[in-house]
Amino acid sequence: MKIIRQLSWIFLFSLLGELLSFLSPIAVPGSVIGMVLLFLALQFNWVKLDQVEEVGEWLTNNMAILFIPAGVGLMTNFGIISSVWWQLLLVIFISTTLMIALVGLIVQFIIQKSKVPGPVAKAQQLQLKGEHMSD
Amino acid sequence: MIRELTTSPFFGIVLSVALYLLGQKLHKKWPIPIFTPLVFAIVMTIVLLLLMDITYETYFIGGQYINIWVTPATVALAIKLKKNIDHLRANVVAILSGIGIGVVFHTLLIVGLSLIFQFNEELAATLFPKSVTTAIALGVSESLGGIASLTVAVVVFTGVLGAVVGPSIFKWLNISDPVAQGVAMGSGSHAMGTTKAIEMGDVQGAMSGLSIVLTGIAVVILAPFGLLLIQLLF
Repeated sequence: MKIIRQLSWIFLFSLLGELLSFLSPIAVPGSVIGMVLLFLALQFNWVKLDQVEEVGEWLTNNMAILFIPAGVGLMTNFGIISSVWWQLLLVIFISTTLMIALVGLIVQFIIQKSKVPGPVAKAQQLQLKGEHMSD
Repeated sequence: MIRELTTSPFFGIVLSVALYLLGQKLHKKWPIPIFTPLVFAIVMTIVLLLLMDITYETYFIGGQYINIWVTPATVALAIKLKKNIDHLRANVVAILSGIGIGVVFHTLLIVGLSLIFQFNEELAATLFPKSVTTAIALGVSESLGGIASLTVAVVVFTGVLGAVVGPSIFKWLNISDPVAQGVAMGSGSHAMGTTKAIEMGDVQGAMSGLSIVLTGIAVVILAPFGLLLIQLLF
């Protein structure tokens, strides 16, 4: 019963999201609207965490398996891929490495700038650096 | 007999799940990218369908029942966001600036590279959401007129690549802050980057999980502008 109750909440928010997506003038995926709505509901305590937690975590932790059918759809696009495959790989490689590098640098820069480098923070930083190098 | 078997919804379901589980086993033994369970399952399903001369539509008779769970799973990401909201509060400026600037930069980069390689509108729209989690990327790609299945492949490849190169990037550029590492992994290579981030540490894992959701939302917000840009330039 508990599982079914938790599932119904998640299905309800999925349905609400799709409905609002249909009504919305700009293209926002219904799943994302549903996610934002559920987050707001959790934040304002309309829905409690333990009313959705187990099923929700199970779903997100096993999400990868759900993308197989969509990924297999690739077999219907061999025509396009065969003509641009190396360009695609290059674009993916460049954009992914630059994105990770840029975001990492910005976040680290702002955190270090906002931190008053008192003795404790410095010690913590050193400790974290040490930890990172050891693994 | 064969026809009855393959047109049963359970054919697509069993094939997908079995190959995923096999991938998991292989990946445990040999942790190389091709054995990442999702990659392995997609590649092997395609190979088997082609060998058995079964169309995608036939496979999707069962596949749709797996596919339908993508939306509820995306909705459930709200739970991850809720659980990590305190991590966000502690570094809100740094995280939001990093993700915001990152997503804008990524969009411009994709549009620029698409122009250089003379991709069409459809391909540019396919690539636009590539750094976000598959569920959100699928929705964005569809709404912009991209090729959904190609987006899935690109997103999966991005994830695998990010998880592989992320740690080296951090070493080269001296990015040692655990929050920065986590946010970079989550926003650059979504769930697969997060798997790697979890290995790097608890803070990295939590920040990466949070960043998947925030990056997804940022890309959705940016999508109308992305669409405009694509329509103007292509």
